[in-house]
Amino acid sequence: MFNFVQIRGYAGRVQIQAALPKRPLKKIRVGKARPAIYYKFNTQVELSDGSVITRRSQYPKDELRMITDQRNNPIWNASKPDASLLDAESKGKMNKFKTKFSAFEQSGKSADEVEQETKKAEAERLERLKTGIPTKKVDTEEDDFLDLLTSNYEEVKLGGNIAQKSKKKK
Amino acid sequence: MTTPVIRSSLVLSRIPIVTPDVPAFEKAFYQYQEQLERRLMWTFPKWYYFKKGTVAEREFSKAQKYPIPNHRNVWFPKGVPDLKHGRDRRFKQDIILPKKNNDVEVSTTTDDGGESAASELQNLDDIGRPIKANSRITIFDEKNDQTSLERKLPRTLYLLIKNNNNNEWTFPSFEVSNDQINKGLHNIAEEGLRNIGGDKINTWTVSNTPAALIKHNNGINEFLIKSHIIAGKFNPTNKNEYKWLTKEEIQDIVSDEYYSKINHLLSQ
Repeated sequence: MFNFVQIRGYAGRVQIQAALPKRPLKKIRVGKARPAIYYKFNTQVELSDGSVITRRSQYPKDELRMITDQRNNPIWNASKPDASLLDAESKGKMNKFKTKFSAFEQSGKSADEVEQETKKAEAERLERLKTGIPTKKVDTEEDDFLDLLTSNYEEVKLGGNIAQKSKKKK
Repeated sequence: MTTPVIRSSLVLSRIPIVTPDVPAFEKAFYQYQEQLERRLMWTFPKWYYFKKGTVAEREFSKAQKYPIPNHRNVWFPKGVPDLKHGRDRRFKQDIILPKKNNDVEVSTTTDDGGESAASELQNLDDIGRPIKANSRITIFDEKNDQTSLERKLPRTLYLLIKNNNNNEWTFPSFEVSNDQINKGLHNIAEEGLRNIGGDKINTWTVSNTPAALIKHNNGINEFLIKSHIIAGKFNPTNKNEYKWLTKEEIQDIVSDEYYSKINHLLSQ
């Protein structure tokens, strides 16, 4: 509702109130007198295609490097067939781990075998980048006896609810 | 009397790559606002981002410059410091983030000019390399290579082609013959562009409706179709001269009559 300061009397004369209506009381507590402006850093963000943008962030870091972002996501980059999200894996943690510990994987193999495997992996990677479809692993490719573990296993199914809390009456 | 000939032209533009240039006055304004905001900012909550007793916390604390606390019997000529959480509340807070010390590697590799390129390549593999903002002025700007797409990054560029007949610069323009009349003006323009500029170009045409019509004195109706280059480049097949130009450069190069008709189509 409006509180009119001007009030028209019966005789048509304008009466002006002596005092303005009081401001509704709201206590301003200590530290609430102005809006919250948090400390922000000017962060330089390098996107996956090498372009650098500056943005403000509360996180205490002035440099950020994106591995996957809008510049190599296939959804937003339909015109760049090579800028696939899959390429990001060559810079990621998984690749770092592989380069560090791949020697263990190749123990007990001859040099020729290792070379063939790396060639094949590289060809598969290129194929994946071109088509965007990962190559399917053939069953006979790796016989690691893992399937033996699950060959005769039947999942144990218990009837009813085994983990129901019983309500105690007070 | 012959029927008026129809032509379909393509206004092919390259949209800006970086943000527009900020005039000096606006720059000063933004700088003022930034400083004002910095002054009004709350104290950085170190206790929130760094757990006590961790290496990160120690490095962060070590990098800070702490103001001198208030002391009895000491006269402070610039006023008594008002410290809270290691910050003088009379002034804005300056947080210094600890730098990773990989500057040493850079200084050793850039001794020779020949090695620097190789080290740069090597640096690209290094995830922790320092981030540097790219220059807004490219080498093509310095060389003033007007055929390059990587020039005038904050501006919209338009493709202009020199006509072999009258040596006039215009947008790429294509005749619409009578048997093509049902094809659509935009299709004709796109096809024509690929005929003169190769198919290694990806464009996106805004609409099949022409953006403008230029009525020439000789009865030719020229329809202008707007389009954007998305990928690839214009690579002329028959040694046509071409240029990627901004609005001002277009004004200098085309005839005044032509410019007055396309002026409103060009973005600043």
